[in-house]
Amino acid sequence: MSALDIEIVGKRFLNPNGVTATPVLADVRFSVEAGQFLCILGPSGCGKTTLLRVVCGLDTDFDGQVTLPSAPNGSALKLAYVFQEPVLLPWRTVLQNLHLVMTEDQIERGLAERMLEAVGLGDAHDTFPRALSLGMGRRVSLARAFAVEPDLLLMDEPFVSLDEEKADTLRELLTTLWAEKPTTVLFVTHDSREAVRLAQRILVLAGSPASVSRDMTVALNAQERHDPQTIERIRDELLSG
Amino acid sequence: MKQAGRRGAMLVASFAVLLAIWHAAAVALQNRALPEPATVFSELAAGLINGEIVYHIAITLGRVAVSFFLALVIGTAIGVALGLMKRTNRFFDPWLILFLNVPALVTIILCYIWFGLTEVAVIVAVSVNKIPNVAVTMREGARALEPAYFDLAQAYRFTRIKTVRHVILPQLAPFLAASARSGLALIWKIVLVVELLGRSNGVGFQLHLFFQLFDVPAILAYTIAFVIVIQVLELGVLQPWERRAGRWRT
Repeated sequence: MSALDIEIVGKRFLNPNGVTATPVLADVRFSVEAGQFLCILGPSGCGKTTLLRVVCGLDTDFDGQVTLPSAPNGSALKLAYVFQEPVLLPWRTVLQNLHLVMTEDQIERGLAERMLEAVGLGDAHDTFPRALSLGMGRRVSLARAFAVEPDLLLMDEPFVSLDEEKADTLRELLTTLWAEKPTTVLFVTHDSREAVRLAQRILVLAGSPASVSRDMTVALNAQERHDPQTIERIRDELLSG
Repeated sequence: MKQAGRRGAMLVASFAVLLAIWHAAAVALQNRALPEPATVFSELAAGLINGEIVYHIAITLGRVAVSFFLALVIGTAIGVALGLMKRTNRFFDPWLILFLNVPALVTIILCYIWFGLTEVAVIVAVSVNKIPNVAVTMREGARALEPAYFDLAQAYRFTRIKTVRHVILPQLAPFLAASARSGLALIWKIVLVVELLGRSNGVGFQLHLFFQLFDVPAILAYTIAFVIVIQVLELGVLQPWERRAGRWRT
């Protein structure tokens, strides 16, 4: 599988007056190897979500080029997106929400049931999303992303506004799921500890318009990622540069 | 269950009081213009037995069904298009306002003049009366479509058909239900007027006939039969569908 190549020369948003435009991203270039877990770290509102939307193809109004990796053996690239909000279709049950994004083959293999079991919602198949708490919704959204067996997984601050304990459980779950089947992940966050804990590599976005200000490899083993002191040390290193 | 029973008892009591007042008034007045309930109900029974009422109601319902369906489909298409395209909407909005304000009677007369005293004229006249209302409601529905769900559909590479079926239609369902409900109420009233002006069958035609014969019991018998049929449609078809479509809300 080839790499994901991102080359954004410039991205602007039209101002409400409809005449002038504010540049958001400028000269953002990087590639991601297949199977790499990459965190994109930056302050809120710096253009991280915009970057993900551009990569996904939700926003095509930019200068530059995004080359998605080609899928193995010529099939269509499978993409999954975990949005900031769970974005579950409220008129479909939890299980239907998963089935909707999956292939016939994946449905037959019982992948949806397995993923829901993995996120601890094995008994919520027939629940409608309105009846779920935010944390549960997030878990369904995570299960949905993994149920498509993605070649490329895009995650936009999926654990924000959860309490620390719940967020941590979900991070743990993400690590486990990713370890079972490593996929290319772009994970956007403003939380540097979260980035150090999860990522193999961290890109820091900074400035206005934002561009890549640091590119750091995080070579930690699973145990070190749970050690607060190690995390603080790497984090200091990351933010000092 | 107990609550449903109490509501049923209230319904029966309510109608019983209405009938009692009607009966007392008819007995007191002794006027041909206000027959007693018993007379009306025996007229209704006779009409049902010889099949005359059934025949004319069936004709009218057929016209209601066809124009209702056409108005809903065409109105939805127009409304959704206008709701999604700002410039097109700005251009066609005055047309919509114009058609909304054309009196139903004018459309009916013009259709009879243009298409002759035919079924086509009936269907066109009734649909044209209803389409602008549906379009306005569905335009609101299209404007309320949630962008996040479109992002979801695109990110997970939904096909167009899948997007329409699972993302767009469920969001439009409440607006469709509102259109259907107000549509039924409006359309059957218009159909009666259309029949009165230029058809030789249907409830509207019969009412006109009885008006000329000054046959008040027959007029009231048709009214009662027709109101019951419309209520059955509302309670037996529209409301269950609305409940089913709205199950996820609770």
